[in-house]
Amino acid sequence: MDFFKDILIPCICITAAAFSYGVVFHIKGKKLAIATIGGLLSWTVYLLTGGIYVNDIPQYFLAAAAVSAYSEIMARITKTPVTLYLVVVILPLVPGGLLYYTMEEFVMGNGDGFLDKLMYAFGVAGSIALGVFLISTIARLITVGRGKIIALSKNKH
Amino acid sequence: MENKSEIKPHEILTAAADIGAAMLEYGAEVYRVESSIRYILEAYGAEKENIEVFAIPSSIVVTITDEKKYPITISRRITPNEIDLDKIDKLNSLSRHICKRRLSYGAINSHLEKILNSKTYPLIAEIICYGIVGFSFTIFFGGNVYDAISGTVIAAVIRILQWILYKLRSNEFFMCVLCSSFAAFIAILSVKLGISSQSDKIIIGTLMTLVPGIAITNCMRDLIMGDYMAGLSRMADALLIAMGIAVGVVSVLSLSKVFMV
Repeated sequence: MDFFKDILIPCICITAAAFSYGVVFHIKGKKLAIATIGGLLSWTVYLLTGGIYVNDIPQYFLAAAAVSAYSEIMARITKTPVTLYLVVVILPLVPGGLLYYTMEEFVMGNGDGFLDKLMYAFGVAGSIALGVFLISTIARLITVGRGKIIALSKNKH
Repeated sequence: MENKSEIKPHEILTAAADIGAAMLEYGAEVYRVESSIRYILEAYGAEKENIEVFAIPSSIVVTITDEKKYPITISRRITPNEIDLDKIDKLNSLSRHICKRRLSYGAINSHLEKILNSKTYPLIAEIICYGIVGFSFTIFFGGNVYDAISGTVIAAVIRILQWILYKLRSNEFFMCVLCSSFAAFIAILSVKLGISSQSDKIIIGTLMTLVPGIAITNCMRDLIMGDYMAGLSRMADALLIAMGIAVGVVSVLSLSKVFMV
């Protein structure tokens, strides 16, 4: 793996893109910085988990889970809606290239290649969604559970 | 409602619905809107079982019942506005603030007014940022510097196109078809003219600016909370945008295969 070509340049690109995406959605100040760092984190996790499996679907899952945990935690700390961070941090994981080549196979009339790529794209999209679903559900369970415990301890006193 | 504050039931109902409607217009998820309205009403002394809140992406209905069993209902039709996460954040903290301080009706309205008129980034900043997104994603997906420069220009023009079409009240599907076919056409043209070398990388990089991020995120979060009506309508939104992108790119690609080879 070439350090510059495969690690440094993509990370810089992702950081710049996450920042600009934040501006497009009108995120401001400190929250914009947090969202940008989250964008970088998503690609870092993707790179760090490379090579554990034959394809990169688990990598997308782990990266999505990591960054949605990051957004849930940061949203609790800064008291903002989770969506604010989640929109930006998920962006680097959108498999734009895969979707484009799926379309290209379709245009070329290459049925097998089209279905192949389409299945793979569904796998990637599904694993990203699953990562977000899992973490959001756990975060919700924790929040509701904490509320219940606080309510119980208030009733006792 | 109780007499703890001098605010009247219909006033707090109006204030809560206004805040909820503004949040939904700027792209908040349904769950957050419903719970914000509920919290505000509870903070002013409405009983939990006397509040009914129902929201979908295009409408809000709120009903409260007083001690004499007189129901009051307010409803709002929502027309989606341009996404502004900063305003949602501010509205969210306003609703927390209202719950804590129990502001008067006039104070709530002046706060709301201030938030709705708060400054956003100017259009030129958005155009530049679209350019940066186009540049960085073209490099990210494997293009060289010349590809990235074409990508920057195309992405910046996409934002201008979107702005014009938004002013003309175009629907989102047509907007995506036009923007994506424009991106694909200019990318292929720039390769033919010898400015850049890989049209596919440019198209991928510029199309990343059209990804319906808010629709996807809200769709997932609404589905998690069990708001299937809201989640499915957001999913339809996201799928229509994706289909629009695909239609635009595919039509230009197939035409280019016919005419240019």
